[in-house]
Amino acid sequence: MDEHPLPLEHVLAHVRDTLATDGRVGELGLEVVTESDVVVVRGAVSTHARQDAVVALTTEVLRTYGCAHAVRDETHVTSATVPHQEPEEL
Amino acid sequence: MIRIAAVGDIHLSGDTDRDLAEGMAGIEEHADVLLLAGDLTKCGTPDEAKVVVRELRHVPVPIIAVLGNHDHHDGRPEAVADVLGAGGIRVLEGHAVVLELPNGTLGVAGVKGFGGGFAGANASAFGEPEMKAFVQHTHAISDRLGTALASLDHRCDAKVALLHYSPTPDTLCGERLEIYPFLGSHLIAEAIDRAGADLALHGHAHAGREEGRTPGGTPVRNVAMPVIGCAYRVFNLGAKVA
Repeated sequence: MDEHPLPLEHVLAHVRDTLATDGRVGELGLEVVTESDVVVVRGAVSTHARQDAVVALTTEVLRTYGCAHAVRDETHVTSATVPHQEPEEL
Repeated sequence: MIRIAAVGDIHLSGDTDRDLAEGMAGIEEHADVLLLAGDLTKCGTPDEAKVVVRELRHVPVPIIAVLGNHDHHDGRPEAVADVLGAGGIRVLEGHAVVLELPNGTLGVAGVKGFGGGFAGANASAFGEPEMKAFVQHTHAISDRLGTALASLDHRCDAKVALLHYSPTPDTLCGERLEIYPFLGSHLIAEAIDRAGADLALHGHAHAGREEGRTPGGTPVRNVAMPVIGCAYRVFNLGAKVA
């Protein structure tokens, strides 16, 4: 008997979980949605290396569940620059 | 005034390609202490903690930290704290420290905090053991925070509660409402309001906003690096006149 394909909503939940728990990305709270059959990942990541892993890891999970969707990375790397804002007086 | 620099969620590891050390350069011109609001590492390994020490080794002001959920992920938070401690970063978990700074005495009470949600939509210790354990963990941590804050009474010009999880939903705005129970707890705010503090700092909510307040009126600031968008934020606390 053929197994029913897993609804995409469940697959996207697995993608989000993997992006959080797999050390290649390790970022909780990323948004994973579909837009016109493309899986889009948004949110803040801490390094360029982790950002570079987003598409590969997402694609890996999608393929595990038989999904052939393209993946678009819309994450951004958090800035760690010298602050320019004035101190807050409390 | 007492000048405090703070940041959380720096998430360092071996793949770190940002130069946090560069972002921290000259911090002593703006602040007398650096407070780290948890999630210093990516996955909570001692090796990642060594990266934290390396990146912050040239910071010439005292560094006080709490751990975050990422720092617990590998199951070795004590080892992470040990590495940080050996590197000069004092880690608080249910304790307080008093710092004699150039313009006053600062007390910092620190806990990781935990989830459970906020008044009107908070979890209760009822039903399955797992649910009770979840809520009781927050109760225990909040109690430790209250005790640590109270221990600072009459010893300090200003008191700060240093946290990873949020004590208020104010600073979570921008996050999905469904995950608020995993981002903080009203019990932390209750501990702060009972014991009193001049400022509460937290991280954890990357999509939240900076400013909030406990129900009792203590200013709360979310200093997660994705929120503040730079190496640290500075707060000047007016020292009390004796």
